[in-house]
Order: sequence, then structure tokens, then C-alpha cells
Amino acid sequence: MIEVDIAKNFGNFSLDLSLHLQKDFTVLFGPSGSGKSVALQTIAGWMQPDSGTIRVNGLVYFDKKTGVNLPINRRHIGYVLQEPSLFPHMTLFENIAYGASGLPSGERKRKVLQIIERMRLKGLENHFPSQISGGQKQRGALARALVASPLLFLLDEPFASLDNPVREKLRLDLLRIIKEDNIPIIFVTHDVDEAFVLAEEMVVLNEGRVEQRGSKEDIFYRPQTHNAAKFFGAKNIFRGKITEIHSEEGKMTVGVERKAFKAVMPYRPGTVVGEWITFCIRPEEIMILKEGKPIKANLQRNVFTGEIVRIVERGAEHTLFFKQGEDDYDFEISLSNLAYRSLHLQEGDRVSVAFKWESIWLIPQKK
Amino acid sequence: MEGSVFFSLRLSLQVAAVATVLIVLIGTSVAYFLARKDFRGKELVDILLTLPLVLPPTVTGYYLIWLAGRNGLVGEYIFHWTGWNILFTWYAAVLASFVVALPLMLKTTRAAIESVDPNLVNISYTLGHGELKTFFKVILPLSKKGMVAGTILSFARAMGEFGATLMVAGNIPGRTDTMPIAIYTSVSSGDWSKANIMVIFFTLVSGAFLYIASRLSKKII
Amino acid sequence: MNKRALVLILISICPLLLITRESIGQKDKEIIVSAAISLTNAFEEIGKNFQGKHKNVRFLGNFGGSGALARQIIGGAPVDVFASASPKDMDDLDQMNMILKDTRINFAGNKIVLVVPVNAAFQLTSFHDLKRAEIKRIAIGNPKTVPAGRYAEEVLRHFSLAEALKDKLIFAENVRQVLDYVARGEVDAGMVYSTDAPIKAERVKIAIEASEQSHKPVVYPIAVIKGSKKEILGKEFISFVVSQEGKQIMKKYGFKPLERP
Repeated sequence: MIEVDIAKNFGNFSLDLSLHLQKDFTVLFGPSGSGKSVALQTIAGWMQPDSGTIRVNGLVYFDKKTGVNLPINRRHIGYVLQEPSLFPHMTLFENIAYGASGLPSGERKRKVLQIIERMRLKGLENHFPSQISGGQKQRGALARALVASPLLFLLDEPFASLDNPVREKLRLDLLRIIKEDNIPIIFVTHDVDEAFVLAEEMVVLNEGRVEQRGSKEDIFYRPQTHNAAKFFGAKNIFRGKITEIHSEEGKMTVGVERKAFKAVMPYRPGTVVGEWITFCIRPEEIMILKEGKPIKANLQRNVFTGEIVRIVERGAEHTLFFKQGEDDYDFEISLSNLAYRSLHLQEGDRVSVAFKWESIWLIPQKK
Repeated sequence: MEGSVFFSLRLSLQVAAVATVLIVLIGTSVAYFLARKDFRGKELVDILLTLPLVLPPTVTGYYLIWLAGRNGLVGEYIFHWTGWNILFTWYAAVLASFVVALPLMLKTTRAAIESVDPNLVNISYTLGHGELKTFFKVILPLSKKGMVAGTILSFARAMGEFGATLMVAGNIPGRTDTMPIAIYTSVSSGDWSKANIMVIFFTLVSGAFLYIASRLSKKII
Repeated sequence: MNKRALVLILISICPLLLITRESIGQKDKEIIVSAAISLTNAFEEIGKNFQGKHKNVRFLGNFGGSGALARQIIGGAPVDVFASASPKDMDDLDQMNMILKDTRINFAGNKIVLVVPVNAAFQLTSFHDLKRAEIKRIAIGNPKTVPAGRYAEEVLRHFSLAEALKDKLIFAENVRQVLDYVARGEVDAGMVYSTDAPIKAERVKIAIEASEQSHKPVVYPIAVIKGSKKEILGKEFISFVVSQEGKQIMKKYGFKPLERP
């Protein structure tokens, strides 16, 4: 159980965090400058908050009021940074052994060799950090942190500077290790895919504050704020005014700001006509209707006709920009390559698009 | 009261060696604090300790007399309690060399320590090690280059110290006449043959020292 | 950026220009006298009066240990007149043919005294008292280069004390430095000229006067340096030193008058 309630002012940036984490693998997600690294540094004791408390498993690490500030070397935390942080003047073995120096030398050697085996670093014991690859360095850093038997593991974008296949391999290594050793982890990243693969619980940070917190599905499909939606790729975010409510049918109509169309969506109890709301639809939830095919019942509420003004190939999928009004484009649509190919679309084609009204997600207004 | 050439040479080496040992020990500790800690008046301390680098040695000598003379700020009490005073002894020569060469060690070592990646230092703490262990195992090995350079510079400066030394250790043949002072006396009194011998000796010894120092430093680094 | 550099260069050259103007302007009207440091106060007054008598003449006194001054002259220092505290240094220059022999004259004498700090706890009545344990440091001029140091050594040898006191001796670069050591209390006793003691009357007092037999007579010779561009002015200066007025001033500062040898 990790409880962080701190504030810190940096001049042109201020951090105001309230994190209460219970799961074993928490991902701290957010754009650059959102305060993710600072959050880790205050937990590890590398930086002092201006006020607040930090508690790990009931142990007080920091309490401004009572003046408690546990020194870094008593916090039993494992910390791996993005930049390789192995000591350049020690061999890999010495680096890892540095984390285990509390033990008698025989046991220390055994433990170190053991973890070298587990992290697939056998044979590199006597190499210096300058002689091994980035992936090996990070595995070394992980090994060194693990060998100290930490109570908590902090990882700050540890795989960010590595190639993709190496990253994926290391992610699997990491998951395997935490399963075996049962150490709670806070993992910082700004990579959506990585967050998705690893997280049990996700915390979204923005400008020093927690934007949203929950399971990865919660955040992905039910972003609670505009920013959360944006960060996770909910591209089609609109603001609109409720024009009609039919509560018996459970539906309401929203006139979209500055756009020519209206959207029909599930009635949200508590809202009234004339109220402004924000909603979003994920690009992959918008369907392009095949000409001639009848439109399914659950799609009929929201059908729009317009033009494909631009197509962008993105490797594993295609992004289509759909326009039906005056703006450059109205919707961003994402199609798998397979789907794209079967539709034979070109820029300039006139099409009809539709989406299920369950795909519409209402972003709660900040009160 | 004849001071021999060999005595002066030996004295110079002795004074410089002792001063350098003190400079390495004290200089490294002070440099560590200046590099890694923040406290009120930090930059004032740095300026005070660096002053002898920019002040003429005679001004430094003046301040040392003011501090350590029989009526000096500190010297007064020492003389009162022990009847002993540092002026006109070879310890005063060590003091003068220490004060003028310390800034060299401070500047190089402080820069070397400051250039150690702070992340590495914090990682050492995070792995459970205290400040002292981190200093010896992480900071020291990674600042070696700067420290070696500082030590060499300090020893060289200590060997060549003259102005302040003359003022506090005096010119007592056979007791405090380090080689630079002995050469000065010989030249002042027209004893050019003696001066010639000493100058040649001193140049050879200094050159030999620099050579040994550069070989050693390559090995260490 | 170029303009700034130009301004900076001009500013840094300015001091050099000042130096040149100064030296050119005054060169003809200066007389440089190197004199033993014990003559400082007397010669400064003599110099001032000399300036008063000769319009547009500037007196520059260069004071130091006689040995050091002699070295400077041998080394080519542009000195016009030299006055040392013992014949030896003048003899050194004479041997090297660096003085106008016919201008050489002895013009004053002095006495050697033992001084102690004014609030010294001990009483010294004879030079043998210097062997006492409370006397830890005795300052004298460096015999190699300072006449007062040579006279002091002669005194100690006269009393057979040179060996016994060997480890207590502190050598100074000139007799005024000896005086200063005593005045500051850095040493327990020092040997200076009787004319030096009053200079620091509040800090030192005379303990013993060395009898004339205990050392070679203290004689101050003065001469014009050969090659000086102001020989005439130099001779005039020496005449002034040995004139009634000059003798009065020397007497005022405690120097013994001497007749021509």
C-alpha cells in the first residue's frame, strides 16, 4: 500500500499529487513535463516535497509536519532510470554486487550469480558497462536493484531508449520477475502501448496533477477528462449543447459546437436541455458503410455522409479524415489494413459513416 | 650557520610533501562539501579559500603573520598556553605552502566531484549505502582525474612557494631556508656559484617530479 | 561586436601611455639615492631640504639592506648616489669600478644596541644574559647581506656567544625588519643601531649598548655612482649631506658625526 499526498512548487510548475496505490503493477502515465519523474524522485527521497506525506506499507517515509524525512538509503526502494545508470568504473558483477553489500561475501556472490542467470546476463560478469548493449545495461540495472531486496520498485521509462523488439522482451522479463518476487511496481511511461501491456492499474498525470485513475479499460474507453481522452488517442472529441431529451427512450440529441451535425447518444441522467457537454468517439469505433448494404438498426441513429479528404498510411493501420461540413475535417477514422483494402477507398470518395451510440463516451464536466 | 645545498633541497621536498598530504586530505573534504552541500555562506567560504590564489604571496604572508604571529589572532593563545610559536620554524613553511596551494586542489577537485552524474550518486544511496561509502566507492573513483591533477599542481606550487614562506618562516640557514629562499639569498649576496648549483638541482628535481607524476597519473587514471 | 573589442583594446593600452608620459617628463630632474635602510628617516628629511634648495629637482630615496642595494647597482640599477652602512658594500662596488672614487666620503657613524619589546618580562644587563632559557629567539640582520647583521655577529663573537646562541638566531633582510620583529614581539631580543630604536619607541626599548670594542666601527660611506647621468647633481647632494645643515639633520636622528678620513 503506497500513499503519496504531496505538493511541490517549482516556479513555473507545481506538483499536487494524491496517489493511493494498492495493486502490484501501477503505471504512471502522462505527457512529458507532467511530473511523473518528479513523483518517483520524491518517493525515493531524491527530492523533498514542500508539504505532505509519503507512506509505504504503513512506514512513514516523509511527513512535513512532523519533520520526518527518511534518508534515501533507508527507504529500501529499487530504482531504474531511463538513462543507463550502471557505475562505469565497475564490472557488471561488481555493479550488481554493489546492491547486495549487506551480505557476507559467499552469500552475496551466490545471490548475484543467481540474478545474473535470471536476467539472462550470463557470461557478461566481467564486462564493463561500456562494453555491453543498452538492453543488457538495463537488465543489469534491474538486477542490481533487485538484488537489494527492495520493498518497492520504481521504474522511470526504463526501456524508452531501447529498440522495439528489445523493449518487448524486457517487458516480459519484468513481468516474469515481479511475478516471481512479488514486489509492487510503479512504472512510468508515456507510451500508450507499453502502458496497456503492463498495467494492472493506471494513473494518468497531467501538469502535476492526477487526471484520472483506474484500470486500463477505464481510462481507454471511459476517459474522465478531456486530457485523459486526448492522451489515449481518443481523437474525436466534441463539445455540444443538448437540444432534445427523450428520457423515456433513454436518448438525447446534442448539437455539436461549430459543426453542422447532431449526435444522438444515451441519455445521461441529471443532464438538462441547453447544457453543454463534451463527448468523444474512438477512431476505430467509426465504421464506413459499404454502398448498397443495408444499415444495421443499432447504427441508424448516427449516420453521416461526406467526403474522405485525406488518407494516411500508418504501417499497421490507415487513418482516414472524413469531412461533411465546413471544417478541414470532422472525424478521424482508423481502419485496419485488412478493412481498408476491402473498401477500395480513395481520397475524394464520398462515403457514409456511422457509429454505435454506445461508442459515444461522455466526458464528465469538471465542476 | 652554513646551510648546505642538500639541506635546502631536502627541506623543500619535505615541506612540499607534508603540505601536499594536508592539502589532499583537507582539500578533498572541503571540496566535497562545496560540491555537494548547500549552506549559508557557502560561496563566501569558497572565495576566502581561493583568495591566496589571486593575492600576491606577500599579502598572504601578511595575513598569516596577522593570524599566527606571537601576537596574532590565533598565535597569541598558542604562545600563551604553550610558549611555542609557529613563525620561524619549518612548520610555518608548510603553513605558507598549504595556504597558497590549497585553492588549486579545491578548484580541480570541486569541479571533478561536481561533474559526477548526480543520478549515480543517488542510485548508490538508493541501493542502501551511506554518504561515506558512496564517497569512497562512487564519487572518488569517478573524480580521480581531477584530484590527481590537483595534487600535482599543489605539490608543484608548494615546492616553489617563496614570498609568504620568507615572511613567516624567515630565512634561517640550516633551519628554514627552502631552496627558493636559499637561491634568493645566494643571488642577493652575489654568491652566483652556489646559486647556479641550486638552480640546476632544483630544475632537475622538479622536472623529474613532473615526469614521475605524469607516468603515475596515467596509471591511476 | 568589433566595436566593443576595439574599445576594450584602447582602454587596456591607456595605462601604458600614462607610464611613458611620466618617465619622459621627469627624467632630467630626478636624483636617485640608494641608502642603507637605517638612514631612511634622516635621508628623507635631507632629501626634502635638498629639493627645497634646488628648483625642479625630485629626490627619490631607495632604502634597503646595503648588500641588496649593492647587488641592484651591480645589476645595472640607475642609481646616482649610494650610501651604505658599512665600508664593505662600498668596497665591493669600488672593486668593480662602479663608483667615482674621488666622491667617496665617510659621513656618519652609529652604535650597536640590543633592543627588547617594551613590556618584556625579563631584564637583560649583559649580552651573556641572552643565554637564558626564556630568551628563545634573537633577531639580527642576515650577515651575508646586512651590515648590521655583520656588526651583530662581531659583537656576539667578541663575547664568545656565537656558538651558544647559534640556534636562537633569526635572520632578517634588513635592520628595520629586525626592529619590526622586536616591536611585534615575534622575537625576544634584536640587535639594531641605536638610531633605529627611537623609530619604534612605543614598542621597543634599549636593553644594552654594545661597547665600541666589541665590533668594527660603524662607518657610513657615500659616493656617486659611475655612469650616473647626474654626476653634478650627485656631487651636490653629497656636499649637502656633509654640510652644516646636513650634519644637523644627521645629529637630530642620533647619528655620530665623522670627520673626513
